[in-house]
Amino acid sequence: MTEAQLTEARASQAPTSSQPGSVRRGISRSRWLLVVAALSLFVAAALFALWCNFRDRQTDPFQAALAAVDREDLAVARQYLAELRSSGKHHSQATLLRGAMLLKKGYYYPALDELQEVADHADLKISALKLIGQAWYHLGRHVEAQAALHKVLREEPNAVEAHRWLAASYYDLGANHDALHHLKRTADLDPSDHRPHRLLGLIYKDYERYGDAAACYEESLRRKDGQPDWVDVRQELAVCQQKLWRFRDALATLAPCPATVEVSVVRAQCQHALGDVPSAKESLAAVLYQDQANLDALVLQGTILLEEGKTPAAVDVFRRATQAHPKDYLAHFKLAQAYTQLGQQDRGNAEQKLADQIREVRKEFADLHQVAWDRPHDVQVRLRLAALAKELDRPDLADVWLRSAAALQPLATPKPYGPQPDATNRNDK
Amino acid sequence: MIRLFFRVKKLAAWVVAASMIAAGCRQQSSPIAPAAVVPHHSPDNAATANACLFTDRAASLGMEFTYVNGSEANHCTILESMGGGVAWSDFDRDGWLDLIVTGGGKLTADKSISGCASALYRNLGGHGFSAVSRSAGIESTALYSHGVAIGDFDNDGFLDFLVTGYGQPQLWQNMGDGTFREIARSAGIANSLWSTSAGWADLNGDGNLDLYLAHYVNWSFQNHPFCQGTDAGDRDICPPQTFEPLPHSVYYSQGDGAFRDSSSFAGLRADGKGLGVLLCDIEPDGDVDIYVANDTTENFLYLNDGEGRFEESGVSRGVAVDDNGLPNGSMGVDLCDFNRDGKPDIWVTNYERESFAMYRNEGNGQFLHVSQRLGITNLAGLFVGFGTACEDFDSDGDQDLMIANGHVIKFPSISPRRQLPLLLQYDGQRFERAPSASGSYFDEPHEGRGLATADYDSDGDLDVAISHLNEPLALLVNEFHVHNRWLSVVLIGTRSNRDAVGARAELKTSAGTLVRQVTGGGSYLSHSSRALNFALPDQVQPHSLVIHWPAGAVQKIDASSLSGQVTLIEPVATGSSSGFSRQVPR
Repeated sequence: MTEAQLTEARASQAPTSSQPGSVRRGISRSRWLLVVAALSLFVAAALFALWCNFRDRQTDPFQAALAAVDREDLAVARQYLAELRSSGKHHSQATLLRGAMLLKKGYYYPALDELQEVADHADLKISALKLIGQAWYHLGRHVEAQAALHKVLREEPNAVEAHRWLAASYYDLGANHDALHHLKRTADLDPSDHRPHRLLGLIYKDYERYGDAAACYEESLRRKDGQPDWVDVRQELAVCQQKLWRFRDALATLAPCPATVEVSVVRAQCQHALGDVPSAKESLAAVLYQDQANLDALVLQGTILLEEGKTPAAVDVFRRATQAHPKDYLAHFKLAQAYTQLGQQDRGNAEQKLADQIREVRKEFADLHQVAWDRPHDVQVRLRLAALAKELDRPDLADVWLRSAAALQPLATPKPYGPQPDATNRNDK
Repeated sequence: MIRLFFRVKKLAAWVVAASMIAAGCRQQSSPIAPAAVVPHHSPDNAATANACLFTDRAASLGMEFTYVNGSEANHCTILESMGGGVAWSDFDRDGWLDLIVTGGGKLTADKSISGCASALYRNLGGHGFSAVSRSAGIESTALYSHGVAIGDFDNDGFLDFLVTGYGQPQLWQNMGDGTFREIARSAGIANSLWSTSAGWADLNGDGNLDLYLAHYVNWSFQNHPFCQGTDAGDRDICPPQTFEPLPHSVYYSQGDGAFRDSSSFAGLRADGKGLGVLLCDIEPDGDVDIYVANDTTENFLYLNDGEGRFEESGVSRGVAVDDNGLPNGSMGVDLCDFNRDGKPDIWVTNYERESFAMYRNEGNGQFLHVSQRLGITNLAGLFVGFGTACEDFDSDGDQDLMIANGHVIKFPSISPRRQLPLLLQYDGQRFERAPSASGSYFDEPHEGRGLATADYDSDGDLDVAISHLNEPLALLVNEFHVHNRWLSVVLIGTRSNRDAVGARAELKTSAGTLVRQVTGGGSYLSHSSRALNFALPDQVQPHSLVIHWPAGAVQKIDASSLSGQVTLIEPVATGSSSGFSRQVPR
């Protein structure tokens, strides 16, 4: 670079004589605007709070206090509580409000102490029972929760919150007939609520009623497409569509979703089912980049390798799948198939045997699932389901069924499910 | 002396081309060109490649027949869901394929079961059909019938047939004078179990046709539980899981027209609910193996030891279950070579929410379920598939799939009772569903069951007969009108069984080798013409035709000038042989 070029370059980088002053003026103008905007926001928020307070006081202070609890604005609720106490006239309302606040904070037994006090109050009974039901529910005491909530419904059949909590309680117990009933009532009573249909979808999906599940998920999304868990809802809907062999619909459902592991797996499976192997491979790569041990992705990857005649590579992939998920039937079945293709019949047979054993357990689990649906208060069925879930390496499901059994009969001890031999008439030596 | 008979037809007129005689007589001398990759759909065929061009002309051609199942009695029996079969065969040896259809039966309020007569339609030179059941003497109502299987069991050159159903099957022996007589019991086939599909093949290599008879389940009016329909109070047909499977049977010919029950000797399993049967040389090692499509239980693959004893190897060979390792509700079956690799694949139609299965032959004795990769699962699992055929319907050089569909229960919730039939065309990567013209057979739902293919009018393309439940029979006339070169090869065994079941034909062409095999059974309750059909796109030149006869002979013929219908008779001498040919005008 010549000296002249260097000089020119330096000159082009140096600020002009007027630049420093104009920058300073720009900054001070921006700061000023920011301060004004912040002040405006503060004033608007204060005015809104005052208006809310004014509106609440104009309507019903007690109801306003409960509304504040609902929106977890406990500071405001405390103000109301203080006012109610100081007035000396509204002791029962104050008690219920305190119970509601304790419930919201997760102090369930203290909340129950407060709420039980007003459970027979003529005007407050319904509100108290609703909250009592919730408290028992949170404590896992479903029988008591359901009793309280059913009392509400006897007085007020359209009490949407009672239906909502009853649905949750029955769902937790695996009493799905009742859960479905109350979810449907909740959905009917509150057409703006997207949540009941999501739960309806989940229940139907769990019981492999994919047509019903898909319709519920679609309704949930229709009610609120941008709900907080919209990606999960779409992914669950896509799974149902996939199970219904509506692969193109599933891909369309997932189109707006980000490429999470769960979404990409379903995408890959649908693309493969449509014979679009290149796209399936792309989606699989996205999954395995994020989760190398993803079961569904490994099984599909191995399947594609088998189809392409790359059997040794398929064996490797299926082995990874069985190592990461030793109780998965399909992974073992596929590994057996791959070994057999390789001519390793003994290994194939061993894997097939394992697969068959797992399938037997899965079959019993699935059958009992149906029994649990039909027998919502059968503790032994739930205990057996918990044991089977544990055997299938699904501690999450085992926990669900154990909690369900405990809720029905807290002191129950596991007994073998099914017809027991008659001790008084044993001729089968 | 080795004889090769030609029957050639171009367009509507038969032409006796003297030049063909000389051409056919030439010994194969030119080297076979290496296989070339050609597009699966040639440009010439592009216009028709995606269309489903069939017209139902059954009524106008004189075939007005309906299979009835007795559902009007409202017993909701599983018997009613089976349906009937169709079979193509030249019974009178006039060179034209005739059709036999089973009639089904009736149920009465007092729970008696009776049969409806089957029908035989004589082909009147490709221009129509004439019902000849009465004169043929086959109008029996003794059996509630389902399937039909064709085979010249007595090796007299006249094709006989077996009718299956609920009760004693009927073996109709062709007397050669246009009449038949029923001889099942006297021939040693005494069997009252509920039979569905059957197939004829020489299973023990003695040159005589043996019989495989699939049985279904132990339903009877004494074992007829109530099964709930969709709505409370609605009675529906019980699923097969409600009943126990019946053991299947194998009858080995004693060479004198009589049979003996050899089921134990053959080593058959007793736990299959059989619906489809395919007898062919799967391995191929020169003997006939057995594939059985079972309903909700594992499908069977019986591998022949060459002496008529079998080892069931369905699971270990990968053809017993689907790609999730689960048994399917399998109904129809056919042999295929969709990817033209010369290795026989197995094609199976299944229940709804189960993919129809293409078990690709991996060449190491193993098969792989590849329906997803082939886009077959794209059919959305909405079909309950029955009769089926893997043939080159659009004459583009590769095999397509046709499926007759229909539900089995009265109140289905996923897909309707009446369902659209399917034609799936292969594009080299995937099977795609062919669109159908509005108002055509493929555009209307049916309760399809048996399906069988044949070039009944000898115009070089394959036509299809389909039986339905309580709906007239369909004769789908192929109207693709692709005037490619075609070859229809009929094989007649001399040392092998006369029907040549198990024989394999390899047509070596400039685009690779096309392989076809003469099979027993196949489809569902039905029997397609035994002719082996090859369609050759314009740019593809045939070089040689190699026949592997079941008895071991290999016959090689110059195919460069071959075209139209060809009848080949097995060389009397053993070992490889060149072919001599003779064209015989009709």
